[in-house]
Amino acid sequence: MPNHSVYRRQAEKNENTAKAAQSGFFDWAVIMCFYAALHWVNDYAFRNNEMGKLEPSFYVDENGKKPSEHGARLRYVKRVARRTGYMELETAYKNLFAESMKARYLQGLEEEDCTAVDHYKTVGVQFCFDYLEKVKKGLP
Amino acid sequence: METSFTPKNTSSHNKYNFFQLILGWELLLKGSDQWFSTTPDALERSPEFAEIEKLVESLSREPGVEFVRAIAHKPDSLGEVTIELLSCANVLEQRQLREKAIDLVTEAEWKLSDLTQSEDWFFDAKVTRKFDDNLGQGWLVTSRHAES
Repeated sequence: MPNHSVYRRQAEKNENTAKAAQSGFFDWAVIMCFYAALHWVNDYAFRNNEMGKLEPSFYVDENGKKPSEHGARLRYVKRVARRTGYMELETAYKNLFAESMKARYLQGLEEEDCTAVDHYKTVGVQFCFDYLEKVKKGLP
Repeated sequence: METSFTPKNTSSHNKYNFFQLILGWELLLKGSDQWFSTTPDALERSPEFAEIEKLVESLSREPGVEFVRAIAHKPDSLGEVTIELLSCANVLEQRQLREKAIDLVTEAEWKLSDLTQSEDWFFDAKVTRKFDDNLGQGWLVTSRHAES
């Protein structure tokens, strides 16, 4: 059995958790799709000796300002997408991040007075698995 | 006083007027131009500003959009911008709108990266039913009312 990175193993476990959560914990399915994507990105960086490019300090600007951890990873995803010419990696990751913000912090749902689990029960979660597949495809 | 813009069931024109009124009151009450500081002249003549204006204009034509604004997150730079779309569409339509917006802003981001040979461009998009009036260190680049 190949010795996969800890990130890949975690990504696979997160994806399995996301699939299991489809049975009723819909918000957690979305959240775990995002965390699976996050660890697939980490795994790609690890395999390419680019872990340093996931660090916010790598993206410090001229004013000394650095992005958040998530912001740094988004910027790394952009660079990988540019390098491979696969824009859908970046757009899928951005969309999945936005959905995870909705699932975790109810962004956009507060005005609806709707819990995340009820929201995703109504609209479904398959589209998040579709985003995840695009992310994985973009990280060969 | 209501400080955030929440769409009401009025005509589009009235919504725009309401928004402008709130902007004006904010400026007067805060006595500061930070919240609505506008794009410096030098940036207004830049290709990135033109690209952002084009994006905002294009997204303002999308169905279900009421207002679009571009917020920059770095002082004196258009390197990091979020395009915010005000929309009262249903959740499914809002998601489709966000996907479309993310596609367009990412295309613009890549175009500028090609043009400037720099990866230091980062654009994002969000759809909201209510604009946040606290921009933190962000500033308004440009905005546009939806074309009715």
